[in-house]
Amino acid sequence: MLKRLGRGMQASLFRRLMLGFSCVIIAVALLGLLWVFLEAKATQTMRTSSENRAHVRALLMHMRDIAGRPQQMRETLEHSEAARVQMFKELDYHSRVRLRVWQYGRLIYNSQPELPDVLPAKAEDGHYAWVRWSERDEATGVVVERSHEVDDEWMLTLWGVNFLLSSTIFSLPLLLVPAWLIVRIGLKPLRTIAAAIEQRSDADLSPLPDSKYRELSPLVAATNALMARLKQRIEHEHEFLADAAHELKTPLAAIQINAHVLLSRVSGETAARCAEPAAGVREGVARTTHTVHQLLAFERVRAGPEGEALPVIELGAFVRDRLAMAVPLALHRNIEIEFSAPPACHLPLHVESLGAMLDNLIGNAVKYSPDDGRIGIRLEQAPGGPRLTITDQGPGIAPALRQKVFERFYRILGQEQSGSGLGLAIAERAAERNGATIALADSPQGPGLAVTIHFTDVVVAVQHK
Amino acid sequence: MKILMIEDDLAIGRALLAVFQDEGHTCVWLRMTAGAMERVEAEHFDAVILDLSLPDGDGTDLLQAMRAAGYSLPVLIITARDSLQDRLYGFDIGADDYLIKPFEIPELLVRLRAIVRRCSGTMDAAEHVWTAGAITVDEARMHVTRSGAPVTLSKTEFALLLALIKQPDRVLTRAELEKRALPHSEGQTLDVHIFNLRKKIGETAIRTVRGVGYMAQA
Repeated sequence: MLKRLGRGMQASLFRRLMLGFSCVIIAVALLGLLWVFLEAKATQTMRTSSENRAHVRALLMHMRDIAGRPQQMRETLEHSEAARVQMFKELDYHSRVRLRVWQYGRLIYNSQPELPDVLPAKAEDGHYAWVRWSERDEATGVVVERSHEVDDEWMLTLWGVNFLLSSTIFSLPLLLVPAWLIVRIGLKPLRTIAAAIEQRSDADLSPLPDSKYRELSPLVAATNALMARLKQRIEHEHEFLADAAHELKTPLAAIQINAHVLLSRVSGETAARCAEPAAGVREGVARTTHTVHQLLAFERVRAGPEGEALPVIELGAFVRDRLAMAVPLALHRNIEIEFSAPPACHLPLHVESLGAMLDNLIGNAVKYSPDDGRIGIRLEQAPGGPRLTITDQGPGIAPALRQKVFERFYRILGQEQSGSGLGLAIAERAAERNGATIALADSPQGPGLAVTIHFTDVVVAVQHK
Repeated sequence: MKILMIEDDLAIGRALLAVFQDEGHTCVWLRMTAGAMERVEAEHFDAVILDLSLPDGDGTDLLQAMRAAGYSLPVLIITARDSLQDRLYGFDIGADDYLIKPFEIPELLVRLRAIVRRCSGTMDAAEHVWTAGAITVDEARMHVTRSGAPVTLSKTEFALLLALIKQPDRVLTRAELEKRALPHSEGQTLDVHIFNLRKKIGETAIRTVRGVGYMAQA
């Protein structure tokens, strides 16, 4: 939930590209609008101006016929103006027109006497610009002047803007939908790489396949380089652990040999008094040795190289050989061991880790079994693959601790048996390396622990001799 | 006996020297491979105890050189290298035994005696005789007694009993027993032979570990 929320808030490359796209579209639209606006304005002025000239010529022709009759001239002009006003009204056209006529310098008619003599040629302070035209007839001395307001206010009204913008508005979705699709498809390789990284296990540090896109190649290369460095570092850490465990062996050997010499040289009463500390030293060395070997085993059973070829072995015979080695120790405490297996169970397995797993699990079963107890080992074919179950009659493990006991160095509180605390961690790792899962449960026959290792069936051509 | 010990670690070397002196053996101690070949050429040694990681080279190279020069004296490797490959390689190039550090001294002494004996080829009569519980097997004379009374066994039964009694504290799996005593049989033959053997030497003399194999009961 938090992650999704976080994703919503996070900057998005997709949104960034879409925003860029939209900005370009809007900028182009606005430039277009400005162009159309200026164009319309120029056209308006030009048209008004030519209309003016035409009217002036028509009136001047008319005035020439009746020149010298001021009254008639005035009436004619008034009529003509009234007709024009009427027409403008019908067209809902609000721009003003001033018509002035002179003869021999004497003003005969002025349709807008309230206006100043000179009208602004440019729009200012909320006033429109005027276009003006006058012509003089040399024979009669008549001068006709017509001024017309250039009305371009309509372009700024809602209707006017709508008219000018309509093409842009209608084309917007037509531009944005393809843009959305292009960006989405364009970003797909990025999502593919992210998915490839996401679905990896934490143990998989193999390089990603190289991207065919020039822009993504550096990203893939950088990721691969990082993974390679990480792999190397992990390798060093593992080597360090193995080396450290290894280095402990020589001093341990020295302690053990010296303890032997020391104890073999004491005799008589001193020997009896030394018996207990001698046993203590021996046990201490044995425990430390065991832990060192367990640490090395833990390192050795970890995942092998990618695509490692494993030999196909018969699991039943392998378990039997390992049991044969553990049986004498069990028989000393009169623990009965029974093994049952199907005739043949061939699987590709990693021998060293499988051996470490079996030794630890069988060793645990023997260690925690009561004297005269019974250990059952059963290999059987189960759905999905062979299943190996090791059942003992020991104290078992409480359900709440069954996850915890697989942790390194975890030891159940109040445990009297000595151990490294690595046995089950080794077993789990080894199971993983062999493509198996390991689970703990109560023994079905009364008290005790049942350890189940479920192998995954791999189609294997059974090798006949 | 006279032992050549090649071990670079001072603490281990001194302690082992003390062990061998206490045991009444003579020991020549070298701390590197240099000079070892010359000593082997000049003197007679009953056994060589060889560490692998040495300051001037690897013990395996020395062993290979010794074997190449035709010296067959017994060599016991003592090393911290415990991987399967290392051990197999050690045996491959001609080591007689391989002991991983740290080890118990009694085990070292037993193994040392064993390789010397094996190489000298002089086994005394007692070493052909094996005993477990009331059963005694004389390998050389193919003679078996139960509480002193002679028992007659077939050749296969004798081979089975010998294999079991030679390793008194080990379970032999069915596969191992079949390989040693019944190389050409199959199926339930082994069980039949064990059944017959038990009838002759006593039901408790051979213990069955169900699903695993058989072992001689001491």
